[in-house]
Amino acid sequence: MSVHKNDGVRGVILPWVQTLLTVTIFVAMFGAAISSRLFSVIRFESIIHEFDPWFNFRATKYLVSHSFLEFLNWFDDRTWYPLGRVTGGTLYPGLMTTSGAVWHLFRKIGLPIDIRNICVMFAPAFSGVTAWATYQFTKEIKDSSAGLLAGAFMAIVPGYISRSVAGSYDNEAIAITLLMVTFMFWIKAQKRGSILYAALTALFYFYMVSAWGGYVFITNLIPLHIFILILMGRYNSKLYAAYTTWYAIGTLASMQIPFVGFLPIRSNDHMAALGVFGLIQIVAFGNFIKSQVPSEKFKIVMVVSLLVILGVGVAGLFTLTYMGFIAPWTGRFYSLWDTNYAKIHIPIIASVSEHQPVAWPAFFFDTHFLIWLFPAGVFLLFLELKDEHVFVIAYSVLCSYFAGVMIRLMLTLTPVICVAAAVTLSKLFDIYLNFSKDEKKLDYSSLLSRLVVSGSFIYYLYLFVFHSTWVTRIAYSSPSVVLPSTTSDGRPALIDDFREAYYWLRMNTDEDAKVAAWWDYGYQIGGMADRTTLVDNNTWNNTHIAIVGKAMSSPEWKSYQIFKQHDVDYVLVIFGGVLGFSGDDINKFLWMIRISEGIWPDEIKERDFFTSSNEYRVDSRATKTMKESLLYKMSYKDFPALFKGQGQDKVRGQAISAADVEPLDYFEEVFTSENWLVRIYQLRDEDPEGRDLHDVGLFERNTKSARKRNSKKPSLEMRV
Amino acid sequence: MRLQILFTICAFLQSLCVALSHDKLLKLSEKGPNNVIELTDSNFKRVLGSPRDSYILVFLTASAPQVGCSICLEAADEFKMVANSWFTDHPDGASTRGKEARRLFFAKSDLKDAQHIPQIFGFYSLQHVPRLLLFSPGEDINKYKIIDLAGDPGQERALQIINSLRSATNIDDFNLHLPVDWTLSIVIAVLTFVAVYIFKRHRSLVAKLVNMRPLWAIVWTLFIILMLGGYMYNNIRNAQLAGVGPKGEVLYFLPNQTQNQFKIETQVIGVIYASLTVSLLFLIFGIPKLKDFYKGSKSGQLLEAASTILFAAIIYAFFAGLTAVFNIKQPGYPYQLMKLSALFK
Repeated sequence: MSVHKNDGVRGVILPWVQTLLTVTIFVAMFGAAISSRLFSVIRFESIIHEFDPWFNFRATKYLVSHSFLEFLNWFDDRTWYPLGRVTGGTLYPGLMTTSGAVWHLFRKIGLPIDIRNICVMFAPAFSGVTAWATYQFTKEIKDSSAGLLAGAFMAIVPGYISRSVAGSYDNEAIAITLLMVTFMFWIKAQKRGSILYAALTALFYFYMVSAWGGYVFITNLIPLHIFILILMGRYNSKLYAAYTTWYAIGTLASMQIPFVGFLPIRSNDHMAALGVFGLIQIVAFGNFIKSQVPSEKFKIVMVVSLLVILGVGVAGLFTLTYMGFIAPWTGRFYSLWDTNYAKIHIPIIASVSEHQPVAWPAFFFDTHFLIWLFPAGVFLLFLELKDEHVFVIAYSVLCSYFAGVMIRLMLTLTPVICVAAAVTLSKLFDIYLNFSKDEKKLDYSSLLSRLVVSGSFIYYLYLFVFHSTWVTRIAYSSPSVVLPSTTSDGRPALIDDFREAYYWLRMNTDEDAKVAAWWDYGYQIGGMADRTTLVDNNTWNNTHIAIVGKAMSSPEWKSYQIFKQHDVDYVLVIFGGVLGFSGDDINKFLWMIRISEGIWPDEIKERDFFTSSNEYRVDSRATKTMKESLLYKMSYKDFPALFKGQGQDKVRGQAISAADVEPLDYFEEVFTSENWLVRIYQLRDEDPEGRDLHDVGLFERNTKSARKRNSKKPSLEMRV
Repeated sequence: MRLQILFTICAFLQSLCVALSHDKLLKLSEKGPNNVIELTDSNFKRVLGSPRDSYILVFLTASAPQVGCSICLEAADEFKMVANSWFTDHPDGASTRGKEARRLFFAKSDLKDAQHIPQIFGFYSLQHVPRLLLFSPGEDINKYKIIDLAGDPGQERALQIINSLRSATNIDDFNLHLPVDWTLSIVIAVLTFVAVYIFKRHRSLVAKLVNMRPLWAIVWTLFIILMLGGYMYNNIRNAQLAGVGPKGEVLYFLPNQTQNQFKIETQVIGVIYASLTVSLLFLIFGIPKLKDFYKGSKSGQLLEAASTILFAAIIYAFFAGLTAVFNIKQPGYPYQLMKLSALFK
């Protein structure tokens, strides 16, 4: 927005018009940001999505029904049975406390709202704030017209919507907002050398630490920014004031979070910030000396001493880490740099679909044409290269690498894509959308060329809106608790098997019954069925997860022993073969095997589950170990009978016949959902006559064979 | 007494026969590349069928691109690694550590041309490639043991093969020798030398280069473009370079898969992004420069307008190409741009 010097009426009206426009634009931005995230509520219902949000929701409910101190001291004995989890000390409380505060605020002003609705609408509401923070951030980088573009991009870009639709009540929902606010204050602080802004940066950094584990990204990016500036010889007292204020307040504040504790001085993830803090003191001291004793020789002394100090620092870090005073990098961090690390050492990290590398279509899918404006924007910033541009460049380079390695980090890349793309586009518009008549006569050829360029880019913007809406609609608006589907005559229908099964658990089982299921469903069972689980999505104990994996992949008698030792009453499996739901347990089976093989390499062998021709089969050619495994038996029990003897597994595309599925002797089927998606089995009681349950089963089958079989299958019609 | 002599002679003759066969195998094996006997239609029955006192590990594979077997190519390297390891320790193909010498040879048959399938494939009615068959001494052509290819590609799988061989043949002194890769060390040495040399001799030039902003800008922009093209995916997943379609044609894009890609896609996408970036930069920098250069002249104005429109068209063309390519990955993508070439059809 250029400032016009004209006098008179124009001078009075223009600022008003500008203000009015800006306000309108912001209102529109908030509206777009919020409404485009409501697809899932409109198409399904106001429901918490996926897996992790169910835990956050459960924790929030605990917070609003207990006091804050009780919340921080919460020991949860209903998860990770029999270990339990020190939930209050191992969660990031930022999300729950914020929604708790909102809930209390609304109650105070006489608007009592169900906590569930606050949790569902939480992410859309904060996305508007993110757009505003992106505007402020970009305004500092270029000007307010670039800022408006960046804010608008941020409001509807699918890469951010992916984690902030209504119902996706996850840490990221608030973390990206805080990330952008922190960065915005940081840029303001380092530009002005303002202690106020630096303190605000620290404050929001603290908020971020309380909300998301990804705060480590800020902890490393800001020191990197300073470090690069020092290397470029751009040290000045403004940087000193901003950085030291931020580091001192931010670090002390972050240590107040129970889960973080003394990590900032004891973990390698935080050492870069500490190192730069030390470095900037030395540089400041050196600068002070230099201003007192002007000499050419001093420069050499300065450089050499800096190098020596750097060397000593790095060596000291290694020694301290080696001697165990400083915790080494976390596994997730290693796997970012050494991309094979997780696959070899921590299969549980590699197994998470969020940690997979990204192929190029995902970038385009999530950002449309911003993806090719982004490199040009980085190039433009390089040519100008003010101090704050260095920050954006370091951010883009690091994050484009991280996002390529792990798909979940696409979320942190998206804001900088919006910023850099907005810089490119606004530079372009500065030239080609400038129709002010400062030239003497109208030049038609020039006008035409400008119209072509600006017209085509406005058309791309128009497409971007449609693309974003389309992506949000098809990819990011499914709660994955309720699955969309169509009936045979083409009408939309919902597959509600999960809730059906969890509701069954809630109503028909003992209140402290223990349910064993693969960890993916732990949070949902806890949140929706309110039953005790063995493992859940907080994957803090690999061995415990491996126990469940071992039980699932072992023969029945062995699984029964393992489950009995852990007091398990019910076993829940997800089976998609009837429906064609590909995210079921048989498809996740290999990870169960791999994780338990990591602990018991003698008992579980991945090789045994592959046929001699190296195929993963579940039909008659499946290996003996496969057919004997508990998961196989539980998934396919009575499945062939459903299709009169030969069942076609719609996920694997293989035919299973009745002869492939051996009977279950130690477990009893108690529930199978409408579309067979969830199957629940109960552990049989031990035989009162002391026989082995397998022998009992054999005996009963022999005596019963003459009689007609009494099936307990639910007599519901299938819906396809 | 006579009988005993006869037996001795017989035994001697027999051992001579067998010994001949061993020497023959050794000769054959020395003839082949990497000490691997090439099995052809004419010789495979003779090599595998005649009585022998050696183990033979036969590798059946298909390197023809029409087959599209990527594991075959990996397994070929591993097979080579195993064979070389064996012959480094045992140049005559025999291990003498045990009571009696145990001999092991390697043979291979490769389907190089889809039109011509080697007879041995039909002989063993092969369903899958690659296959490792182990023939034991004293047994005939129809008796063999399948050695599994297990584990991750590369070193680990080669080690697995050797372990299976050790347990199947009772040869203890069979160790994996990795081919020493000197390239990295040499490259580092040369680069260090060049860097130090340049730094010593042309310090001012180096300082100029380090301070050259466009150079840094180009390097890091290219880096970002590489990352956005899915370079890390290729590295981590060890993606195939390109695929083969149903009619044997080369596929540059893995269709219908937004989560997976070929290596070559990174290059195509990289070129598209780079061209778009260059055109954008030209619009932002080049045109105003051009305007200053031709200030006031009529032809200059026309040139400026023409080149502006040209670059806008180039951007449109590449963007349309990008959406078209995306449509291969995600069929039914509704916001595809119309290709410029469609105007001339």
